[in-house]
Amino acid sequence: MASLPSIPGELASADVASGVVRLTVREELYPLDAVFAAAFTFIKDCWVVVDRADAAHWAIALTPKAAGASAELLEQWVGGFANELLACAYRHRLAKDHRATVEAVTAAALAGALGPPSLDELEDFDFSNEAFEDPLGIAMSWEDKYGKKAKAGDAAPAGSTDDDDGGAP
Amino acid sequence: MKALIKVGYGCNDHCTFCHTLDVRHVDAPADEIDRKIDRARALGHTMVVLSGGEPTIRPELVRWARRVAARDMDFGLVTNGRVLSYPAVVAELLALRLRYVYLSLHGGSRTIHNRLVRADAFAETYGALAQLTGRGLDLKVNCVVTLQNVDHLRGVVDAVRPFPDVTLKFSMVEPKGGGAALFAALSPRVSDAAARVVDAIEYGLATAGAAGPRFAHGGFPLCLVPGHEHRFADLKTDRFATMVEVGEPDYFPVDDDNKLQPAEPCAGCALAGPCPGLYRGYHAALGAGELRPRAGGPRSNSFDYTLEATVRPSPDGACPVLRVGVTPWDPGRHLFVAHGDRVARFRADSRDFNDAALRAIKHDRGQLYLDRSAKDAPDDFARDLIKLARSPRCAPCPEYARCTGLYEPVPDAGFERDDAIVRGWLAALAGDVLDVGCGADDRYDAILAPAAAAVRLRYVGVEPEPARAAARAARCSWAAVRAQALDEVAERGAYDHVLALRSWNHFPDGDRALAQLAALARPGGTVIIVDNVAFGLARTPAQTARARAGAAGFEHFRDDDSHAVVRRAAAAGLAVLDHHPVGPATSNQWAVRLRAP
Repeated sequence: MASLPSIPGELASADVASGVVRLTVREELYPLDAVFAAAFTFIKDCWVVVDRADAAHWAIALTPKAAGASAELLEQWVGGFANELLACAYRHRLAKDHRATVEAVTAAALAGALGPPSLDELEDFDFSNEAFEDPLGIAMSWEDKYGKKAKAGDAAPAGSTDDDDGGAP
Repeated sequence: MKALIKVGYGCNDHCTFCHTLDVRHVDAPADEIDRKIDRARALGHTMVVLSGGEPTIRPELVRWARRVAARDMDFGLVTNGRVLSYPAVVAELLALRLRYVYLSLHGGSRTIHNRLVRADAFAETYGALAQLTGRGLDLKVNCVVTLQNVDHLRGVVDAVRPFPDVTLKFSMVEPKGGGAALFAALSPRVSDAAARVVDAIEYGLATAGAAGPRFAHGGFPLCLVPGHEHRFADLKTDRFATMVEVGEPDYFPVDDDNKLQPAEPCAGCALAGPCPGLYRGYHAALGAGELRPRAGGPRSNSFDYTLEATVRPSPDGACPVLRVGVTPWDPGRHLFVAHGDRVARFRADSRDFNDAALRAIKHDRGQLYLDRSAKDAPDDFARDLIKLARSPRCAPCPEYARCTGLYEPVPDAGFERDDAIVRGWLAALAGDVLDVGCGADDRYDAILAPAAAAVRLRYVGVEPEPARAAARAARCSWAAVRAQALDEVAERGAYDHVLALRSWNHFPDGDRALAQLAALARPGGTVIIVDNVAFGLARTPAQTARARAGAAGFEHFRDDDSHAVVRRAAAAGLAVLDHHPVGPATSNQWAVRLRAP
């Protein structure tokens, strides 16, 4: 195995005789989805093997399909893979960060495109008055439950001014 | 925007301060609520929130939620939450687009909460919180502050701390219904309650995690919650546009008519725009002596009406506003603009101005404009703005006074016409002229420079902002420009004419400023004051977003009109030579020419 001049030896090495170059990357920096995405872009020109090097690292082996790869060519392949991996990891992060926004926008767009339900669709809805189950009798007015009536005339009639905050419900 | 429907006033709690104490037996027929749900959809609302009384004790609850969802709106509840302690009910409502819950919890313990609601309700209400948290809801917990719990507000903070998606709001008890009948027994002094609320919020902020809960308050004058003014919340901040009581035929805009800002001491307070003021009942009983109006502080001099929807024209040519109904639209905050066959509806969400101020700007002063610029803030009003005026079609309408009105763009050269008055005054000046707050612009240089060159006048400009002063000095070799504030100008009685051209509202203290301006003039000299009143701008959402993201900051300390200057002038012994106030037929620029004693 030979080291590659422009890439640290602990990260990448080349076996020119076998025509294979190996790259080791840290799992905490590169999610497996990013490794797969980068690997996918190379499968046209290389045989690609992804494996776990150890508990904290992924190992990627690239073997160019064209025979007779030189050390320089292998270095180009592994360098290209490293850059693609970086791009995929970044895109993965952006997608993760903005997932909620994308979902919300998509949902709003779909809802808007669908438009309001038609009258035919409304007919399918159950508009019956069936109440929810209330085994504890919670949904019973205070007066019914305690058999009392609120004192009439205790207060001025409620108007329609608009603040629930300081008194209701 | 949300619509609030009161479904009835029956309740399974019996709060001491209940707003609807004497009508608890009244419940709306189910079909009335059906009709109001449909009406909310027709008005363009995106959420229906049911309130009461207690809406969850109505057997139609789930059916109404289903009807709301079927009309493509979200669903919300103002509730004591007890029924929501049933997991099955919560699950069913969540599936029917339950998105907003405003839940009442008045104590952090069984003893305190039950004492206020006069029922054994704490376990169910608190249990509902556990059902509702973590479901992606807009989840508010409201704690009404009374004499019975004012000493226990930290306990409420402790109770909600496990629920980071909660916003805990402390609300001053309102003297209405039970709150009015038992006022002396229930209502703490508002200043005392506000201090306890501030303590509870700061305790909450110190002990809550980074994710929450968050904290808010309502019903407290902002001067009593220093440092937490921005935590104010009410129906409007929760984006409620309209509401309807049992038996009312149609929706009405959410308003603040149950509160007031007494002129004494609130006039001139820097917090007047966003402040809720005092409950009228509280003010009637205990006055405004606890208020501490805030002096100074820059404030906005404009607000945005943002395009909300387009309105279909009436096929028969009838008024499109009357067709959609008069009462749901806020007279100050909604704006219908007709242009040809099209009608657009705008809405102002501003909290820089209270409702009364918005109505005055729109209906009394008529200062509404369509912003046709791409700027963060328009700076050439004549070119950037198109005046909007009440449509002539409104004049004979019997709903004229009650309706938010239909407005139309009008060809109007008001800015040029009103500025011509000022230009005429300046063209007649001779002798020593002091321009206070002269700024950097060259608006009147074409008049002043030739007069200075002809040695008919000697012009001194003072400007507190050094960069602006330097820019003006570099451009105007005919002028003496100094970087100075009004307070630093010491040449008493040295000028024939003293000018304050669009700088008046930048002076922190109007009384002091007028006295200083008058003192700088020679006896019998003139003081010319020109400025603009606040105005509303109709904008697209993109324009509003751009303006709010822009760097333009507030520079005005007040939004005085000319009458404010004339009143002060009379008190200071200055004679009013000319007075051009703002009105619906003018631009937003006013001008006053005074004679120094």
